[in-house]
Amino acid sequence: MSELSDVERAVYEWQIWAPEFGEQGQERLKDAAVLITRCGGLGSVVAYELAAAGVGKLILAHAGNVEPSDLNRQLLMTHESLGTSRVQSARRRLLELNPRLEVEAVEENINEENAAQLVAEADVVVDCAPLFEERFLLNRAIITQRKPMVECAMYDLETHATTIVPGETPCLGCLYPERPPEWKREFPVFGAVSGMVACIGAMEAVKLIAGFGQLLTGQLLVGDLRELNFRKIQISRNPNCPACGHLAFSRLETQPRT
Amino acid sequence: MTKVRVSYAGQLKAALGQSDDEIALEDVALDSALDEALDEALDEALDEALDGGPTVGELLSHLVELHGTEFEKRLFESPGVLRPGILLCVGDAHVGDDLSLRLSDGNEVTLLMAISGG
Repeated sequence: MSELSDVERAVYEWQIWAPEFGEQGQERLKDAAVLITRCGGLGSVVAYELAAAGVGKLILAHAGNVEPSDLNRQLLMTHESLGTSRVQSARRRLLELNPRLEVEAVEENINEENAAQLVAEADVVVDCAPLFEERFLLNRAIITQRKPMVECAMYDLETHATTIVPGETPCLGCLYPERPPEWKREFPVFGAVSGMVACIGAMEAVKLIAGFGQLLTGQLLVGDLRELNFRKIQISRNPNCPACGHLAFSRLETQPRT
Repeated sequence: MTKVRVSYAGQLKAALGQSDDEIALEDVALDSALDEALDEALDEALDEALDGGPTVGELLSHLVELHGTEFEKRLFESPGVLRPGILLCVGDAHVGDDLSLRLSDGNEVTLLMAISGG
């Protein structure tokens, strides 16, 4: 495990004070690589918070250039970067905050060709994609490679978050056996809503890597910022899941849904 | 009478223009003497099943009557089969697509929608 430099001890001093995290947790973050895709309203804030927390490497996958409508929520984009590469803007802004961070900027969205390779480079995946097609590709790759994945999503002022550990928790396919046909690429969004669930997702990644705290495993955290209601919905593995049904159900697991 | 509160989320809530409904459904009536005898003789789960509380399917049919065919199309792919993006929850648990589950008085049912904003 990598040791912390003097600069790192100074920068992360106040989070090293967190009980059950400490220097060991910080070293684990330093040694970790996290894949975040895409790097928009959700992904920008996840990336920013993980860079701030001292994760060693971020792999950011997002195609295309910055557009005006990105700027109400994609906090790693800037007015100056309009018309230029999103991931390059993200990379630049992240390195301003944390120059020790290694950033792999991939100018592609998740697709059939790159999903396995990108997931293979990461210890943890944070899924911030705006399309179910991309989410399902990530779900398949993490199941094959047995990597944990944090799922964050939002719509209007509602948020969903859960953490998937293949073979232990429900996967995305357990919740949605088929692609939900109603979902549209364009959706109402405020930056503070995607930012909020992104921070929850970032902390799930920190807890996964550092090995402390309670995770949203087997639970879907549903948030509503119109009414300020939060609830945890218990979710369970589907033994007929097209994606993960073939993975063994441990005897210690809560009785799977029949 | 079984009273149930139904909450809507996501695009379903947006389409309906409301966040919840309070629904009262008739139970299937059992002869009271038989009902009492069964209460004494049988364990709780079986007794509840025979009590004739409404099923989730019956609740959803009632909601379709209330909200019309547009709502029905958003909920069901075909009769009795929920659309893939619906997460049916009773209390704080996702119950999958089992519409034969019986509801008790005071249950909260939530129809969450798949969301993927990023």
